[in-house]
Amino acid sequence: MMKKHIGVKGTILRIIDIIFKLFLIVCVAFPFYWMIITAFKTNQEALIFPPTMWPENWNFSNFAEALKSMPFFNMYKNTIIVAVTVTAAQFLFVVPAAYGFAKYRFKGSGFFFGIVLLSFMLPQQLTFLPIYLMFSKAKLLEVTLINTLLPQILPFIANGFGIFLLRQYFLQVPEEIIEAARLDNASETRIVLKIMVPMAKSAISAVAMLQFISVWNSYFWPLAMTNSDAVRPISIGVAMLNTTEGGTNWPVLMAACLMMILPIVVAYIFFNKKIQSAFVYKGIK
Amino acid sequence: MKKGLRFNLRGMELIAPAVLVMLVFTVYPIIYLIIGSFRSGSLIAWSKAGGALSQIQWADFKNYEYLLANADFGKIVGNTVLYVVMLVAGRIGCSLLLAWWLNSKINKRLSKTTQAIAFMPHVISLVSVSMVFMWLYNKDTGFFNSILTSLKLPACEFLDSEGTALISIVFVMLWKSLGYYTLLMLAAMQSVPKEVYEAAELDNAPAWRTFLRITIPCISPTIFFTTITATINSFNVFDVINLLTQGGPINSTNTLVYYIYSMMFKFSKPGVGCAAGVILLAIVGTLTIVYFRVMERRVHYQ
Repeated sequence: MMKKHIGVKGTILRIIDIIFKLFLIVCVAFPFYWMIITAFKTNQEALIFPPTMWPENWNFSNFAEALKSMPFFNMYKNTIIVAVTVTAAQFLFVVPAAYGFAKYRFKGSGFFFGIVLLSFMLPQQLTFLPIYLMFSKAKLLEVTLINTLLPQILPFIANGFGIFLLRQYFLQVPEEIIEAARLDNASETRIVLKIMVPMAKSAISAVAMLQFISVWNSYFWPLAMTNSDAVRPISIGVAMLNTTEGGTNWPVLMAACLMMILPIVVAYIFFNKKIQSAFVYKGIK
Repeated sequence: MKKGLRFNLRGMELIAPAVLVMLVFTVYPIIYLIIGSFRSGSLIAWSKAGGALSQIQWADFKNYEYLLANADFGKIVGNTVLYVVMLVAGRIGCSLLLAWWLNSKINKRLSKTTQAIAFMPHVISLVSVSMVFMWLYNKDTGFFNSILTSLKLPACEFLDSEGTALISIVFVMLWKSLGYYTLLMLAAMQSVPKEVYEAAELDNAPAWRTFLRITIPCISPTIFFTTITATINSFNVFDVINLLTQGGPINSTNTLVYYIYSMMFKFSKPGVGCAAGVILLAIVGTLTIVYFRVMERRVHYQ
């Protein structure tokens, strides 16, 4: 199928195309490159102007410094716990709701779906205040909730965006299959588990990955909902590194950033097709 | 199949847990926001009053009057509109062109790699992205200025100067989201049936004509939908401003959402913050309605 006789003009076009695409790749990837090499420079070398494009003296201690300058492991642990819990809890809330909105017509379903849409269009800065006050007052077993990870978890377990996406998918499941199962006297739970979920497996896992990444990267919500370092996630920790007196230690800051994004980058390299597929679905009406 | 009351109840049972959570974390805050826009008092007073209606101090419309009479607020709304226009135009325009370029027949494998790399910034935390760009934009030791000075151009103050700070932030957000929007456009372009393009090729139309007259109308639902979400998303900018400029210098990067947050927390004027929040919702709501009206007229469906 390859055109064998492209000719000189075609080849020149091809080469120009390659050059431009490589240039684009460099432009997009450059900030990552800069982050990485800065993390291995000494603080003095980082401040040289014009900056060096490759570390002259490789310095490996920035990572250890970053670990020391904040409760790193605890914060990392918080990030993992929150991201995993939210993603797992969403299965219980999002899948049934998407199924309900997709396959049932009842009074008020339009209204409630409107609330679903609203929930992911609202900026968190408009909703945080009453929720913050609520968690500051509520207590469970003598512990004020604001000092737990719950404020970072609970508001996200009914992810409106996930319901929206999954509903689109479920809408495409043919009615006949469901009717057949009902005729066999299958309970609704069984229908969900044995029919809907397997059919939408790729969509569900894509949405789950999306959610995990989004919670991992969240910054504002943990900022607003935490009063102490004990419950703060790593995104806050990295941001805090920037506010030290005496000028920013860029290499240490870049090292911390690298450690924060590393799991996501690794996941992206392995699963990028799947991750991208989740976003593509949103575009299709 | 009889679909009676029991069937409908089942539907409601299924959505009940999720809706309940949303009532608490979405509906209640909105009601609180609207009511709050008519209150006065400091954050501490609000926290003490809790939900007790009797303890609330009312300010009637004073919060709104304060905002509408305030020149600063006007500037902030102006900044926000400017920011949104620049970012949405950049996102949609660049992603359309990029998607069309990556969709061409030559060097397909390289296109796929380019797309995958361009998409990566979207999944990287905005905190890390902001930190790197703060470093690149640094006016004394940053990489960007080293390029400018090596080309014998004057060094730019980027985030530290009134004139350039907002655009610098637009650029960061554009860099981060371009791959995502390109992916959406690309997917839409690839779902256009080949016959449509083949017909154009028979007519020997030049490439740009094909693009304007065929590609764009064919993917117009996607363009429309993406423009709305890009707009709403742009209005909600906060993290990058909080990390890079905190609204400065001299309020040049102070946008609505950041203003609302600073009113509520920093200046302890939650009533004013709520009023500004209601105004934001009104603006975005109106825009969405306008978009839908435009869509009814101009979007082509197959």
